[in-house]
Amino acid sequence: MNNRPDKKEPNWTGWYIGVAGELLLLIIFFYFFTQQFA
Amino acid sequence: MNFQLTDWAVLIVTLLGVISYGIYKSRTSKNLEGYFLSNRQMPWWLVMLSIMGTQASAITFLTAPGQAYTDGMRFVQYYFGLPLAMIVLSITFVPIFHKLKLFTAYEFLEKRFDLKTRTLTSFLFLLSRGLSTGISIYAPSLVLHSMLGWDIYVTNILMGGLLIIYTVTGGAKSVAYTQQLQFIIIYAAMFVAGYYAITSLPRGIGFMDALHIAGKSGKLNVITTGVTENGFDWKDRYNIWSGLIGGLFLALSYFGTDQSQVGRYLTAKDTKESRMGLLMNGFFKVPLQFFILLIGCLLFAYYSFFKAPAFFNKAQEDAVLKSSYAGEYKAAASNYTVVQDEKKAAALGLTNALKEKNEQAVSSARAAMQQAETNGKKIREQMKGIIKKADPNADTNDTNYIFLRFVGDVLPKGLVGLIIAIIFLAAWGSIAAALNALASSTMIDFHQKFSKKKLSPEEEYKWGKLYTLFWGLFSILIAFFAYNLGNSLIEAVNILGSWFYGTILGIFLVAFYVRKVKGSAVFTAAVLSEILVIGIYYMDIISFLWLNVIGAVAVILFSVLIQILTSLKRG
Repeated sequence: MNNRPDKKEPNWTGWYIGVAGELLLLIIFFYFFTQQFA
Repeated sequence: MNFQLTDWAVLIVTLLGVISYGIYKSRTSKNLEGYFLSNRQMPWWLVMLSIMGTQASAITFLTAPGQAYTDGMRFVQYYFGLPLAMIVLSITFVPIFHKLKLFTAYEFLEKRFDLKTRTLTSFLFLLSRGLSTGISIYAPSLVLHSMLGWDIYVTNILMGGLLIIYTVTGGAKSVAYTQQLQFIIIYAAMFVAGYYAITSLPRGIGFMDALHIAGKSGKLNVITTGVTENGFDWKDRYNIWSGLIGGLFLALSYFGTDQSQVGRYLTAKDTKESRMGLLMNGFFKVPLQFFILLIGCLLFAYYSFFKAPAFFNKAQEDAVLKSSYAGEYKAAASNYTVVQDEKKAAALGLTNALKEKNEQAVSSARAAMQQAETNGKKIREQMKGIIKKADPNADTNDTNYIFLRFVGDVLPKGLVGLIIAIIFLAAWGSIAAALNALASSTMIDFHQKFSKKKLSPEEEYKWGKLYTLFWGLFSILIAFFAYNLGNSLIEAVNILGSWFYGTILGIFLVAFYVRKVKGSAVFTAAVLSEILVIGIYYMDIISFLWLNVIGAVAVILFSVLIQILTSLKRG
């Protein structure tokens, strides 16, 4: 059925931390990338 | 640009392939849920590709490399708020939209507030998205008109008309499946363009050298703080703060309240698939945008060794060369050639110094490159001034032409056709989703709401198709007007977008988070905030990204204040 909560609901907090964490890592990488080639 | 028979063949086969695939995937149930929401059956990866395809227009792929070439990679910061917005939407908006089984985001506002708030926001969406879809057709058509000499009216019709075939036939399902195919073709072609940018560099100059050349010329400025000697520059468009905060509010507004995006994740099977689609969009968007911008930096490295046009829009350049300002323009162009020779010498000096690990030589080559870049910019400005003198209505922004000029200069036969095809496909991805959303809002928020006649599901389905066709034709008409009115209409449409986005987001944020505020309070607050935003816009003291924050925060504050005052008066 549509729009019903799935029984196997993922751990969403982990996903949110994952996405935010990736952004943080990217910003750190970009910072060093900027410095490296400047 | 030289467009040969092989290019025509590749272009036609690619476009016909996508249209046929769209029609092949168009079978859906003949009711509104089937037509506008693919029966809410889409898996997360299709939702993600559809979200990405809707956001990235043709201009995204034309502007981004050009933007990196001229201004550097700091534009990527504009997307920093997006992953955070995906998290907020997954927590708050998605479960409520799915639970209420909505067709449009604006339906929620009637359930939470009243009919007038729903109708106003839906109307603002139709107005701004209807006009901007016309511009989404016109802007890439103009580039192709200038680069390839195609008739602008025919190009507008092809750019905005061919996609109508599968969008009207198959609705949201065709839109999503064609976006999937478009995504694969677009990124494969961009990857090939990046590969050619590297392999076309002179012998002995590699990818890392190209990065050093771009970086030492200030083009790899991915992270900037916006802080100057006089403190934080509020008018600076792209820096980490405007990207994280302004970008968060912009992405919240675009993905949470713009039906062309909400309509994409409402097609998902359940809340889990919607969330996953949004979160994965947040995961991949910044790296993908980084990659597109990096291509622009590679073009910069390429044009450090090979002759770069001083002005990339050839049609505009040809016009000035036919005017009485031709002599003045040629003199400036020959000065630019001198600067280019200096830049080439500096670039070669830099690569040699890097190989020898000679720090002092690297420093002096860096200074020489930066000096050449500053001198080049000055001459380019001077040339733009001459173009403007020859034709006061001329568009002196050539950012959109840089990537295509490289494609024409370097890519082999056939690949040029493929790159032109991806301009069409990127345009179609965002236009098709916009038409689907415009039709669903017209049908659900206006026709169904205000028509006294009760329609059968089949009749509703037919009306849905008719509205899609109507908005398609309307957008092409706007594209025609844009050509006749020139830059003024494009500017007006862009301004309109930045005026309303923050306020609409504010209304939704109040709806979700400030339970005690009622319909009348939020409606008055929205009107007041709009006046404030327009006032600040005309004062010209702040970059456009911050207007979204101001609009949203103002609605929240005003509505709470008005609600308290109303309660006190009653009490």
